[in-house]
Amino acid sequence: MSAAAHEEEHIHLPEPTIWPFILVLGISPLPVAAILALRPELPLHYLWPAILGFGGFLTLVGTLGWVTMVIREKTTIDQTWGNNTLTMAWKLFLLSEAAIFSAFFGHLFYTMYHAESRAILGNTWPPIGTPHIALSIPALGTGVLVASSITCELAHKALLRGRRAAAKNWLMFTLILGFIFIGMQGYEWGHLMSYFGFTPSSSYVGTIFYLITGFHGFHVITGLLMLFVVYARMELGSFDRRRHFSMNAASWYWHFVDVIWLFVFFVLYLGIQPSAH
Amino acid sequence: MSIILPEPGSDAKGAARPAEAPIYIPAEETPHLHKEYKGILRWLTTVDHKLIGVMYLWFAFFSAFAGGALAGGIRAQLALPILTDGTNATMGLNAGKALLSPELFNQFIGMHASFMIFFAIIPGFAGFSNYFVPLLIGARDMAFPKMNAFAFWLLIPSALLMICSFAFGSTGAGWTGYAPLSTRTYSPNIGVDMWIFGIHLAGVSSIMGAINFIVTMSTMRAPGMKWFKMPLFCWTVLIQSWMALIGTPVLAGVVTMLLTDRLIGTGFFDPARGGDPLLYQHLFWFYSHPAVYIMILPGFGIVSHIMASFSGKHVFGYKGMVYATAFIAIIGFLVWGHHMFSAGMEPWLRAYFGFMTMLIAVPTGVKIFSWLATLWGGSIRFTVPMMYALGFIGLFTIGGVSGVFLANVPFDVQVHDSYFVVAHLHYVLFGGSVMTILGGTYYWFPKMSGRFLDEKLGKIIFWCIFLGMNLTFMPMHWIGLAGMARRIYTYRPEFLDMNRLISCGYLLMLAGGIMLLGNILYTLVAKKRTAGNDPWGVNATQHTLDWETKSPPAPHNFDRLPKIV
Repeated sequence: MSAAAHEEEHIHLPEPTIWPFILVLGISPLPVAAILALRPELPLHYLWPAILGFGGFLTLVGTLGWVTMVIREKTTIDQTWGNNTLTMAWKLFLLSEAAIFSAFFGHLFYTMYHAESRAILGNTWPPIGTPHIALSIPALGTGVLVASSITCELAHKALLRGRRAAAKNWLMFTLILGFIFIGMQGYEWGHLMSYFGFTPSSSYVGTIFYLITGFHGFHVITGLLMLFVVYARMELGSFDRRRHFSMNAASWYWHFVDVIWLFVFFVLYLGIQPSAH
Repeated sequence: MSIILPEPGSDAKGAARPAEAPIYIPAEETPHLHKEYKGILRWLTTVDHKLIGVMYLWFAFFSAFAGGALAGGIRAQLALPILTDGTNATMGLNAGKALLSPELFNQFIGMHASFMIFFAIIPGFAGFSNYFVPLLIGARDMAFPKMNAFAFWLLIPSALLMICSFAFGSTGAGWTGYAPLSTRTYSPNIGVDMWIFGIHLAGVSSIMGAINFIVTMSTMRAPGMKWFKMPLFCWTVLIQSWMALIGTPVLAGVVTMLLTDRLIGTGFFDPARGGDPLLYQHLFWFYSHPAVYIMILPGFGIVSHIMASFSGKHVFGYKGMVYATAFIAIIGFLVWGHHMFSAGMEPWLRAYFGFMTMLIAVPTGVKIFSWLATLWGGSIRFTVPMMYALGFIGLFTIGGVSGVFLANVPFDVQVHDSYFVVAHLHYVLFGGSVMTILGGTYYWFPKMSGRFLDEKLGKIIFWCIFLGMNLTFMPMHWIGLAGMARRIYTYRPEFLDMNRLISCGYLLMLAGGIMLLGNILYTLVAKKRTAGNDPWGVNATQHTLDWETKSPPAPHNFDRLPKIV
């Protein structure tokens, strides 16, 4: 009853907005640019940077317009009630992300399971010809990511207690650890490609290794961007104890990326070690 | 369940309102609550779930005509083929050449399916869900109105990518895009790349829609509307959304792997590098079998509403219906292998998939019998939506029974890739999904537009579509059992007469579709708004909130949020 009575005083309908449409206009050329870029034999191949630039520009405009509008709404209308729905939506989004990873891991598990009957893999797992990928870097990476998850949680806790300076420091640690992880990953990729000639198209293991680590790395970079935005907003003083959905969202995303990495390390890296069986 | 709409100044405990009493102030007195643009900008900028729902429905309608035109090409080719023994049956139309080349014929098949699935049926249901879920749960809009608009607009580039791929040799690998046929070796054109990106965009749209519906129904139900007071249509959309949320990313994942195989040179599905084409099928059907239920569950909800409304009763076994729907959804994720019985699989896995598939018949049977029990003893009104609902029960049962046939491994291996499978899937998707979409269109058209579609013409259209549908797809069972293969542009001479009969059935359906389009346009332009809050006079028995607002509803749906007791 109180909810209904509250509602009667003012009905908020969301304002019409052009930004979703602009954003779609910006996204639309991107697949065209991707196809042109990756298909050098096409007659209009040379146009891809222009199309990418055009689409990317509109995408950026659409995103910024949308974000600005949301922030403006948040400051003019009390929308703390909305945190509930945002939280739920974010969890569902992470679930769908997990489903994508499960498709890739499903591919890996299936191939491991059937390796013994596949002559092309040498009837064994890991397949003949798989380079010995040293565990030192990924093991160190695991430590770095787990540590960054902890510092991220400490930042969140600090924010909850209202200690903004501490929150910012912990967040900065998290960002640095994330960058270290990405750096190590990039070093490892370069090492494998140049030293072993181990590329996505060299073997099945190369294919699945680069897809999973690449897709995970892409998520790490996305997570870093989110954390960076959160840091910038803290610098601007946007959050308080009650209202800091972005901090929640970014930290969940970061933990999610961390958990996925544990799977990557324990299933993929340990799975393709020669001593694993 | 009864609904209390608090009157201004009353305490919120007002008595249940008689169904025929108007509750809303007339339109000109409605306070101007929000900004709105005029003309085309109104549609481009809208975040109103009702306008977005209407756009989804128009989009689905035109996609259905595009997909139908492709089906027309397929039927024309099969009615006027060059037969396998060299007989020219083209009736002199094309100087001894087939109307469609074999490659073009396969592209028509692939695009017909892609269009009907991704741009006709799924957006059709998304249209109804968008329009009616917030109304039925007593909310003012979806939880994320901007994301809602975004999800709709994404479908446009997705459809454009797919339709434009025709100019660049679109996918001849069918809507399933099986590797290795869809790999660069066998499909070197960029058509498949465009098709994959089209799937990506449609998939993102579908995932966003699913998140939006789950959150909306979880957090925005009217005060007092407990989970088990939520109308069945909402339940089916909720369960469908969960399926889309978990299934669609897997499809996105598998087509991404196909794309990297094509463009970057990875070897996921390349046997020469240790990849496995069969795995494509496993991952593809892990999404695409649940997609079958994504394409039918909201239809179950619509039929439940229509059946109950025009029987003058509550739907029989409400909770049983909810549980049956959830059970179908769960089992639906565990049966994908029945699409691959002839593709190579361990015997125990075949037995498992066959058994689980037959198990789905149980909750489906629960639903069919609940609908029959809803009819039992009711005072039935044969309105057009009711005719579609009744037609649905008959046709969907046929499709369900042939599905149980196909779940039998030995039988499936015999008829695999024959027209029997085509007949089965069209009885489910046309006899099931499309009939419910058409029924829903007639049922809710007065609510959405304030105008009634012509009942007499509606019955003629119904019979055109119903008879045309049976004339088209029933003989496919017979020629399939006799050995006619699907996805091939020609066939043996003995199937010629039957194929021409089937093409006549297509023309009958096409006539029905064109009359429907004409009737809708005429009604929107020439008829006056005469529909009241409860145009069918059903809310005395139904008590659903869609009949508690104006037709069409004001932008804010309800002047006062209803309270359910």
